[in-house]
Formats: sequence, structure tokens, C-alpha cells
Amino acid sequence: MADPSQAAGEFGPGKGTLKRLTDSEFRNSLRDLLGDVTVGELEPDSWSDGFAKVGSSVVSISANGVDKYQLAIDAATAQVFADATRRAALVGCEPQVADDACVDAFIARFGRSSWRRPLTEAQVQRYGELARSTATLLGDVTEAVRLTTNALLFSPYFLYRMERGQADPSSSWWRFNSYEMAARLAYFLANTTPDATLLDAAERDGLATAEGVRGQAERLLGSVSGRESIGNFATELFRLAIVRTRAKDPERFPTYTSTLQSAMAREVPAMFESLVFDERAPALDLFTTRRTFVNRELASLYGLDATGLTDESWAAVDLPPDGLRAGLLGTGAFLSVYANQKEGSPTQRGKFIREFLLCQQIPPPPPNVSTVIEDPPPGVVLTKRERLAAHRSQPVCASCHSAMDPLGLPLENFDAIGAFRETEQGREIDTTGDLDGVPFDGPIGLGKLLSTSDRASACLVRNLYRYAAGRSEIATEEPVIEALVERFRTNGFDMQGLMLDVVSSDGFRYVAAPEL
Amino acid sequence: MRTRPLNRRRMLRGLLATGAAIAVPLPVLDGMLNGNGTAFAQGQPLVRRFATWFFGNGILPPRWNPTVAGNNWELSDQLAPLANVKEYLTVVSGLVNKFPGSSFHPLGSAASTTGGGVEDNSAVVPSIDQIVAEAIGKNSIFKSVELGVSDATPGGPENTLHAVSHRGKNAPNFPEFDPLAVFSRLFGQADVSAADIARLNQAKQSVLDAAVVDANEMRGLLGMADRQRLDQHLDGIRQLEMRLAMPTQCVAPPNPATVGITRDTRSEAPIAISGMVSELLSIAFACDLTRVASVVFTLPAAHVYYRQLGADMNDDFHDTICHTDPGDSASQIRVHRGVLHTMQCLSILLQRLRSLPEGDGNVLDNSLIYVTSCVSWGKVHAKDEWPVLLAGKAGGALQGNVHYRAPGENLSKVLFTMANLMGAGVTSLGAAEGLVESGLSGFV
Repeated sequence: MADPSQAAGEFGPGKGTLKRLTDSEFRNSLRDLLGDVTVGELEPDSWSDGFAKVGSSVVSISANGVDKYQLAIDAATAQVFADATRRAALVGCEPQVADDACVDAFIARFGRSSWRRPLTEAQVQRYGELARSTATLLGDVTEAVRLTTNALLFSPYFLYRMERGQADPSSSWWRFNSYEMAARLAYFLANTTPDATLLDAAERDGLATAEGVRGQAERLLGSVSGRESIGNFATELFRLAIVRTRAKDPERFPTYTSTLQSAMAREVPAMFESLVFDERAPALDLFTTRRTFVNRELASLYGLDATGLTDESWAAVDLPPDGLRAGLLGTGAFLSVYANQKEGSPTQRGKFIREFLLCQQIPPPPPNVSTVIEDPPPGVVLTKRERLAAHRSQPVCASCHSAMDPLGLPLENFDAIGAFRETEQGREIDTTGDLDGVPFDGPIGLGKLLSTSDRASACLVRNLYRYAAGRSEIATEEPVIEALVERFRTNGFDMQGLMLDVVSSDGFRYVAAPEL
Repeated sequence: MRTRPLNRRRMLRGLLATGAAIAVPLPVLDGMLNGNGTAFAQGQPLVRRFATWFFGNGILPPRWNPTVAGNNWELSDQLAPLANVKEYLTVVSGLVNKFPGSSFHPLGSAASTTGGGVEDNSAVVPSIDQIVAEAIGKNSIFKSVELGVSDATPGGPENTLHAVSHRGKNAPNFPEFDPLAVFSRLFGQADVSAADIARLNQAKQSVLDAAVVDANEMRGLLGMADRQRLDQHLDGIRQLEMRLAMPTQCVAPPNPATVGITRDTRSEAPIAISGMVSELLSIAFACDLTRVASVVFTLPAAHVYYRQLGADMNDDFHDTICHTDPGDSASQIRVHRGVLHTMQCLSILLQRLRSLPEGDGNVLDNSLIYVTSCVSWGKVHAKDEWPVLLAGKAGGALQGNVHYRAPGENLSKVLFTMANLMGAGVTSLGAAEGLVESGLSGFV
């Protein structure tokens, strides 16, 4: 992670990348290329600097991961080709022989969509030859076309995005070419493969200028798929994939089901998307908003009227204006992930707020420190606040825990799955806390502080920039990030405006010339 | 006489030539062996296997270490569940993770599996199983396989919290935690008749070939680091290609779905799932589908709940039991019970490997199972008295039934020793404080 204090005065772009599609990029791309298909399990994403999109530019795939691609692709095309209507819609014809011109036309067309650029003539010919030889071998033209489709999708040209840029006569830096830019925009703003309009714009070299890029970005953000810019950003930033992997004590939390977990993971992106696209509200309202989305189970968890809702339904609701639940800090996703199977963890919740919302790193405990918190004497019931007092009374612990515990302890009204509770072990809960010396009360007080925090807004911009770049930012990009932070503030934390500013910034459009 | 490494096609030929009934696992046919049953007829040594078997959260050193060193050792408290296979054990005690400063679970798992540290969320050098795979795995149907029993995790981003097998920096081999996925990958083709497989495989082969041509076009445009990443991808494709060329002949173990074993969704690392994973691995070894594996019983810092061991065990094993239970390194009774459960599960694997005959011995005779963890005493993340247990006789390279004491020696030295026992011929191993250029002396 770049250290802002080392910010150089002058901007310089980061290096080009080879990004393997993340799990969700792969799934969404197959959906757009093939129509609705069930896609099997893939190698798990790796997380670097907070994002799967960053991990995808540094981590290498394993042999098992390559196997999984092959299986997933084969199963996906089998679903399409088993259905004559879908097959015809995809291929565009019913070739009787493999040297039918329509096979080559399909290869050129599907290749361009899946590789996000036109194939060279040699490549079309090579894949055409694959189709013909396979048809001869199997005596089955349809299966040959399916296997050729597999090959186009199993190709590293599909599975990887090679973003190198090209020399730009008007600049000392290289610039991403229009096809690369189409993919950058599409995967950033829609988390999927570029649509036809983007590829056509690239074909006209219409993404060579900041204005051209901004225009396409505006179009994407105005479309349904553009909501995914926020949806997937929130999913990655807040590590929502973890929600579905968490187990809870089955006796204590019988209502904690996989459908509830799915609803929790879905709620946070929906809440953020609604703020950004439906309400056009300031992004930092994410910490205070009462508007959220629930299924039956989540409504029950939140103590809302669940009449008319089912486990599969999805409805916008307003949380009670005088309640303790609002915004991100009141969501089941956040509260249940930063908890063990039985109890919420004030330390982990505080750590999340420091690291993910304020971009502050908490170092691990020093070596050979006993992390034991002594049990109270028999008959004495202590609250977590009392037990964790040891964290703050011992100087070696206090240096870090004083930054975390006072942010997490005020959330103790929410248990290990995020349900509200009045008391802890029969005792009233003390919800006072402080954020860097500023006192507050409870989750609502903390949410308000975060929603006006300069640090929180700067952190959000940095995270969005890194997510958009798909790599860790370097020191010479700090001037761009600082300018984005400034504009974000003066624009009233308008998230759509920020995304447009990001894509038209030099940091998003330029790339360092490759080292020879 | 020309010698070749054993592969599936060769075994298949042997099988048909002898007309033996297909009672598998029957990996190595007597007809392929020399008169003593200790080597192949052509003089090659028998197949050897290697596996890392990893569990999270460490041990209680005074209860783990046997008190007497040498051949007259007795099983310790925590090793007691392994009594049945005592003659196969080599306990190595006293090793130290030499990395300075805090040694938390990600660094601990990197140190004990790679001998190197952690950088940017990743191990920095290859893990022992991958070093061994380079030496003995390349001609196998699977160069290595990575399996897991419980995926309970603290949820941090570090790859060294989620994988104990690494091909190098930023190249983790994540364990497969779904027994059915393991089964399908290893044995899914076992029942397919060979009749028209060849044609289908040839067609599949062309799909893979196309990807290789594309990758080679891309290579020239990439910088060094990205080229290496693409090469790793190509390596995966090559392994797939090799598999197409090597039909397997192996009667599969029970399908996990048929016997109702699914992945561990409750973070309990139960004996039944561990037993299934052990069965899959044992048969894969016996059928020579692979010679190298890693098994994650529980991940580093696993937030596992052993509630099946008793109502009083229903707490977070990492957070609550290891880190906050009262007591010193000899008296944390709930930690002890978790370790006993772990060793019981290990014992089932070792006994299964021993039950599979091979030559004049069994598969465990010809295996080296490296058992370790991410910390020594978990409560304080201790770095001395690291848990290291070697099971199996590595094809005669280890005598077994011994407690070898190496107080203060670098943990990496046992990795160095194992690498060379398995024929890797390394002259150094690990990185930074874990870098060593020799193994443990007087060890084998």
C-alpha cells in the first residue's frame, strides 16, 4: 500500500497488469456471453490490499484452478448447446458442415465478444481449423462448434486481461488503448465483459480521450448493469463473501440459516446502490441511512414487520427512525462476520472500522504477549467491557486496543448474528465510546461521526481508486488521489461523480511504459 | 534395460498382462517387482509418497513432547492416539521457528511449511510438498493434490491463512474442502470405459492446445513477473493434457455423496469428514494417482468448534480455548482435548495407509507424512518446541519408532532433511531467518 506521506509532487502512472478474471467477473462474463448458465465452483479469489481485483493481478492460478475452469466452461456451454433455440441464438446458424462460412463468422463474432477485441485473421483461421478437425474426428459438427466455444473461453485471452497500453505521441507515458479501456470501464463499472456499444466505441478508437471515456462511463452508470459498480465494490471492500462461510452456534442461533446469510450478503450492496443510484445521496450516508433491503428472515432479525415477505422476497424498508440500527454498522453482514459463533467481538468490529473504513492499519500483538483475559472470580458476572478493560490497562495492549475496543464496545447491543439485545448477561449495556478523542454514544453516534469524517471520505476514495485500478497504488499516484478526495468533498460526496472523475483521471487512463 | 517411471498406462498394461482381477487398489503388481518385492523388476525403487498434514493452533509442548529421546521413547499424552502406529513415528522435538518478532499464525504456517516468511499476504518460497512434487510428482497423473477437512478460518486475507501449499510467492494451492469435488477430480473418470475415450480426449486435447498457442503469443508481450504467472497457468494446462494421455485404472473409494459426507459447514472438523478425506487420499496414493499431497485438517488459527467432543468444548478453539483458557502450557485441558481429537483423526489416516499392501510392505512404509502446525503453544504464539512429527518410513529411509531431539535447531532443517530424503537434492531451503543449508545431523 502506498504511503501517502511519501507522495511525490509529480504524477506518474502505475505499471501495466495481467489480470485473471475474478470469480464474479468470470461468472458475469459467461452470463453475458452465453445467457443464463449455472457456473460451477472456481478457485477462490485471493485478496491483496483489500480487494480480489488486486489479488487477481498478482496471484498465479493452481493446477486445480485450471481444472476448474475447464469443468466450469464445459458445463456452461453444454447447457446452451443442449437447447436448440439457445444454440442457434448463440451460433447464429445451424452449420451442417464445419467449413460452413457461418462457423468462421461465429468464431470472429464470439471471439471478439469474449476476448474483448477482434481476433486476428490468423486466429480466426486457427480456431476455424480447430472446429473442422474436431468435426471430422467426432463426426458431429454441433459438438465441434461447442468445443470450439470451449476453446475460446478456455483461452488465456479470455481468462486474462492483458493491459499494457501503447505509446502516446502526446505524452511521455503510455496510454491504455481503446479496447483495453473498454474492458477497464466494463469490469470497473459493471463488473462484467464490455457490451457491444463499448466494443464498437473501441473499434472507432473512441476511448482514447478523457471525454470519450467519461461519456461511456456515464452511459454505463445510467444503465442497470452500472449499479454493479457499487454492488461489487461493496461486496469486495466489506468482504461480504465471508458472510456465507460463517458458522454460528446452532443452539443459540437456530434462525441463522443459509438463506439468512445470503440475504445479509445481499443487503449491504443493495443499501449502498440505493443511496448512490436511487437517492443520489452523499456516499457517507452509508453510515447513517435508515433505508435498507430485507427478506423475511432479515426483517425478523431486525425486529421489523415481516408480513407479506418470504425467504425469497426482497423489499425496501425503512428502519425505525428512533432505533439503534442504521447504515452499514447496523447490518447483519458486518455484525455477524466480526463475531465468533456465540458473541460479537468488539475488538474485531473496531478493527474493521479502523482498517476498512478509515484506512488505518492495526499491527498484530507483540511477541509472547499473553492474550489471556482472566476469568472473573466465581459468582461475579462481568460484561465484555469490564473483561476487556485489561486491554486498556496494560500499556503493551492499550497502544492498539485503545484504537479498536472503544469503537466496538458501543455496538454491544447487537449479538453474534446482529440481533438487537437489551442487556448483556442481565446487565445494562454501556454504549459510550470515543473516536480519536471525540466521544459518542452507541452505533448511531458512531455512524454520525463516520459520516462527517475526513478520514472516512479519503479512505473511501483511496479504496475506490485501488479497486478501479485493480492493483496497489504507487506513491506517484498520490497527487491524483488527493485531487479526487478534494473534488469528492466539494461535490458533496457524490459517488457517481467520483467514479466519473476516477475513470477520466490520468491515473486510470495512463500506464508506465513496459520495462525492456 | 530402458527404465521409465511408473505411470498409469504402464500399470494398466501390467494389469491386463497378468489377467488379474481388478481388485483395486492394486497399484503395484507383484509381476512388476523384483523377487524380494522391494523394488521394481528393472531395479527402480518402489514409489514413494509425501504429504504434509497440517493442523491449526498448535499443541501443549510439555504434553506433546515424549520425555525420553532415542529408541526407548514412549508416547506422550498428546501422541497417545497414535499408539497403533507408533513404530511408524519419528518425533522431532525442540525445533524453533527462528523468525523474529511476532509469530502469528500466517507467519507460523509459512515457516513450518516453506521455511520462509510472509510478504504481501503471501509465502515467499515454495512449500515442502511442492519442492518434493518437483522431484517426484511430475510424471504422476496429479503432480500434487491439496485437500482439506475444515475451512473454519479467522477470515483474514493472507494466503498463508488459507493454504499450506505454495508453489512460490503469490502462488497458493488452496485446499479443496468439498469431499465430493475431490472425489470427482481424482476418481471421476475411473468408471468411464476406455472404448471411445480416445477420440473424445483427442478433441479435448485440441482445446488445450489452442490455449497453449494463445498463451505463447501472449508471453512475448509480458514482463517477467506476469510471464511467470502465465507459465503457472500453462503448467496447469500441461498437467491436464498429461492426464488425458494417461487413463486411470482404479476402483474408486465410496462416493462421498452416496455415503452422505459433505463439507464441514459447521466448523467442527468432525471425524467422519476427516475419515473420508483420509480415504480419498489413501486410495489416490495406493493407485498412484499422485505421490504428493497436503492435507489441511484445520487451517492456521482455525476458528473451529469441537462441540461434538462435549458440551464444554462448544467454544471458539482459537479465540477462546487456546488464547483465553486459564492455565499454562501443560494444563490447558480443553486445548489438550482438541489436540487429542486431531491426533485421532491423523491416526485413522495412518492406519488406513498401513492397511494397503504394497510389495512386501504397505503404503505407509513407502510414505513420509509430515505433521505440523502454525504455532507451538498457541496461547502465546510460542516459537520454540515446534510440533514436528514424521509418520511413515519413506521407503526405508526412515526407521521409525524414534524420538529425535534437536533443541534450538532451525525448524527449516527438518524441511531440508525431508526434501532430500524424498530425492529433491536441495542445497538450501527457506528464506531469511528460515534459510538453511543443511539438515538435521544423525537423523536417518
